[in-house]
Amino acid sequence: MSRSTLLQNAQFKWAIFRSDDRLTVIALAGFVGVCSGLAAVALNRALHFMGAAFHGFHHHWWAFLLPAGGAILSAFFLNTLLKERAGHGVPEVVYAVSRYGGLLRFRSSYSRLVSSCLTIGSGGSAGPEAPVVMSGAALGSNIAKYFALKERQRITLVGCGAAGAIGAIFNAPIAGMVFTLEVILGEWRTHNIIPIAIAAVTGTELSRLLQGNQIPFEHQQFSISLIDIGASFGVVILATVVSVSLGRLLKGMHTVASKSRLPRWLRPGVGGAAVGIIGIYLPIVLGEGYLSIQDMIQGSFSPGLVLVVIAVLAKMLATALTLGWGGSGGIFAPSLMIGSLIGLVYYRFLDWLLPTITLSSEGCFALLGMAGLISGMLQAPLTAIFLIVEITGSYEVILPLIIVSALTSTFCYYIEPASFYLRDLIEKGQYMLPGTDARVLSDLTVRELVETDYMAVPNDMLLKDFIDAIKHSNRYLFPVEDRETYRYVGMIFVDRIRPYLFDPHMHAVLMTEQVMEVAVPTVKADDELADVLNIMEHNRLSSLPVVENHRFVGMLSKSVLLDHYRKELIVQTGAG
Amino acid sequence: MEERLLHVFRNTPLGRETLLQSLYFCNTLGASLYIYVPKTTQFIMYFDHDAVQVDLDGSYLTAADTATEHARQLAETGGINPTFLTPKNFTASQLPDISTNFNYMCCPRSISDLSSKIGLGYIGPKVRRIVKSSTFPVLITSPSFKEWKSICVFYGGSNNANKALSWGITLSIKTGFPLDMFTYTDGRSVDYFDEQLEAAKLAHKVKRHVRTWHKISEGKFEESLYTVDYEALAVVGAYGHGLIKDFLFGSKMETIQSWLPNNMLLVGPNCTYRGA
Amino acid sequence: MLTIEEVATRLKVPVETVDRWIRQGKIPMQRNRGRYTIRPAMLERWANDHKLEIGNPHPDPAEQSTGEQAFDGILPAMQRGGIYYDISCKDRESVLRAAVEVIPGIPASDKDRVLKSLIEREELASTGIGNGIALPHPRSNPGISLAMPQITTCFLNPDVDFQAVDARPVSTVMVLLSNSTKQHLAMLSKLSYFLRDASFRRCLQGKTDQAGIFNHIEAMESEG
Repeated sequence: MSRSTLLQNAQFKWAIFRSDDRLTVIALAGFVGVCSGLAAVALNRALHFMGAAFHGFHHHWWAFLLPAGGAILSAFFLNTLLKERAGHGVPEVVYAVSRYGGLLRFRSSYSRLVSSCLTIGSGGSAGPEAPVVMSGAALGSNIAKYFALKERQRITLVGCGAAGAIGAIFNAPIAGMVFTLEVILGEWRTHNIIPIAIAAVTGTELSRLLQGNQIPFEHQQFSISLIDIGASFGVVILATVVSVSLGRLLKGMHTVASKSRLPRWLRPGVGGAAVGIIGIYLPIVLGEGYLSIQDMIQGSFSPGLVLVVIAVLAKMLATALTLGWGGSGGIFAPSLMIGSLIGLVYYRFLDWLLPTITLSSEGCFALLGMAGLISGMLQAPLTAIFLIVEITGSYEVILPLIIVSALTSTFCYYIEPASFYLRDLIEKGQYMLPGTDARVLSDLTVRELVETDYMAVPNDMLLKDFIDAIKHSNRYLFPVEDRETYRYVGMIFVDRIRPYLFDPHMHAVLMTEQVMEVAVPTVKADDELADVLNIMEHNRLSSLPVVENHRFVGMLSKSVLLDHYRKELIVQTGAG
Repeated sequence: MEERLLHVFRNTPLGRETLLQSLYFCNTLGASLYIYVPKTTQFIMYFDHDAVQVDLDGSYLTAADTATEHARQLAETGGINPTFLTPKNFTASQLPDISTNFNYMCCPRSISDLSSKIGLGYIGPKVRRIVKSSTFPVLITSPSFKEWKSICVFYGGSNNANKALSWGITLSIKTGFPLDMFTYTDGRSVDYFDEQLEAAKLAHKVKRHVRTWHKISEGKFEESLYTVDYEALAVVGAYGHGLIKDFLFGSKMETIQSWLPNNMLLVGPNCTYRGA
Repeated sequence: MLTIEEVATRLKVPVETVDRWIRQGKIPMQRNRGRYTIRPAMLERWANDHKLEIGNPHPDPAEQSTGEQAFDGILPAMQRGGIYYDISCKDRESVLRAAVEVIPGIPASDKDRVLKSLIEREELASTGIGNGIALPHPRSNPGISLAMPQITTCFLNPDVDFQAVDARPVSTVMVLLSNSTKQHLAMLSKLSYFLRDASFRRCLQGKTDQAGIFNHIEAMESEG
């Protein structure tokens, strides 16, 4: 090759390299990971601090007011001070990603941190993960906004924020990645994986730097035998039951709370007070519960079997009370704790029932229980598997782990078709993965598809003049407008008026307004295409008129829709 | 397509003035009116690159049961059949999503604060954010309803000013009202502005459509504002020259909004101009 | 249990598509004594999951009856409307006025409205279709309620200029009244069909007596 073509080639490749937007995202991913890592560490520290500060008060009689006060303050902060009408973190992120390309408000990046700190730190039973994910995602979104990135890149950065957050909290970068891809983004694409991986790693690294390389739960060694694998099937059943119950309990509590006649600001206080009362008798129910989980994994959880069962029920109730009545936080940590409790229950029960069988340690079953609950509640089996493996640092558990995670999430899927996070969204029909029919239809707009080159005819035109008019058109649909006001009054379908067209007597006697169809449903410019298609199907029409403000704008036809639908689908799912 | 104007209705006498202004605007331009009667004090608008949460002042929820009726009655006397927006998607239970699919939006000077602040010299932060992110110009109304009979474009030579000028010309053509231009030379030579017009290919249109071009080279900017017709609709590009242009209104803009009680059409940096 | 054909009808897809879906394992139908079947509840669940609509199992529902009677033929319509001879008027408008006077079945209070409507229509464009025949009708439903559509036939003496398409004066005026555009169109198209028959036209031009006209129509109707 000559020198100039080599040069041209190189220049060409460099131009592509530079304009490839993936690089910007990769460059920013690390930064986003750092930011979300900081958020995670900050919350973690704050919770430790508050935990230590309040530790001394738990034996006072008025201690139950602490969670109440915390919850009220947190709701006040969130709703009144910051005016951020809270959803629960993760579903909001998914909503933003699926509907608006990951646009999140800036205030979300710090608001949840403060509010959940107040709720959990004072003893409320909730998890700090969802708020940190929300913060990380909002940070990612706003960084993308600051750099004026496109929607696709913004979505990736939102995912980076979430990955960094989870990685930092659990010191588990793979779990962070998998969580983001499985739950938040819902899709695995080459352009997503690298930035998310980078963010997860940077978040984790930051957390290690600031907090030391400790995970919330220490490494353990377990030896697994065939019996354990068999026993894990029982865990599946237990986990399924508990997951479904917890989900329903939370929903029920939410309904009860919203129907209550107490003033809005007082409601979280009620939930908090109830939790506080439970907490007087069972203090392990309070807070996020990492310490108790640690004990359980180490096998040093002392309370007896009956007490543990009570603890399971109490913790479930406490979580529902905290979150259902307006406290701020997530269900991740409570799920972990409840999961490990039921693992414990199962182990001790089995031990009591069949004392001759030697199972691996009860810590192992605590882990399996945790995996089961996460898989069941979030329906994210991969996240569960990776999280547990990364937490324990031991690979031996993997076989029973896979069994529990996969089976629990499958069973739960049959009973409750959506994960807890996504339930609301799916119910409202707002959960749309890219490349799905719902998504393609919601992305296309009527404005894009309308064809405007239709000739309108006045309503008092005689049929014979109309026939003259249609000679000059290649359409077979004609909108009819009122001669004075130009308002749309009906449509003429040439194929339906054939009998009249061929009868010369009718030509002089009939007018367009007599042969037009008035009952044709009309479409507005911002109608949803899914609805439009339904109307077309019900009325067996392949075209509908688009009418704005009583004026005819154009026709929306199925064939044009199909063309655009294909192109949209190809673009949405095609080149990564 | 038909042009659409978004109006957030406040069921108070002050809100009535604002709605009358929107009605006049729609009638003059032949745009259709979309009214949102808020049921909650917040709503969120998702633009291309920003999600703006608008926190409304509590007075927006006054007498909610009569609001729609009042709005409809007012619209009918204005001869317009409005469409009432019902939000279909919610970011949170109390936070509806309002579409950004409009050609104009009407705001009072402040949307988040008490009506007492609807004086000169104040354009609320939320309104500023909307102007900054929106793809459509924002109509800021005068405190009481005033018909405008001419259009005055404030031309400073920047890109935004060119955009504002294009909008001004389009409005003048559509409404048939005369179009004036106002330039405060501020130390630059008079030719500079002509050059900017040439570069933006607007010089020709300016010659055809502009009635008077006030070029002020002496005296204080504020004092020169007296030249602007009291019946004019002021069309201003909202973010001007310089580094700070992303964060604050340009200094001229601040002065204009403090001194002029006219109705103003603010053309933000993201406004996409669809040709006349 | 539903068969493939029934599934196809409900999902509004051709049978071949359902066949293909079974082959590809996309729809959970089981082989049952040599044929593929599925329980209705299963189908519903499957359709729900895939967000498909299940249509009415009985396709092609009859056209909704709006409660109005279908058009029952020219002969009854003409019989209801009556035939009147020797209407003598100077101009178009007085012809219409005279016709409205004799039309049966409308209360006197409504006659003004009907007349106005007929004149409105006539002024827009002449209803004279040529060969001395005119078919006046209201432009839009004048808000009267008739039991059934009717045609009132008036023979004019002398002929009156109606500005017809062939510029010939009109000797036969047939006023068409009905309850809806649909009825009107049905009646008009049937009448128009008859009017194409030259012998019928001559019959009208000759101002034959009632019996003769009705016989002629009956003969044409039975010819179909």
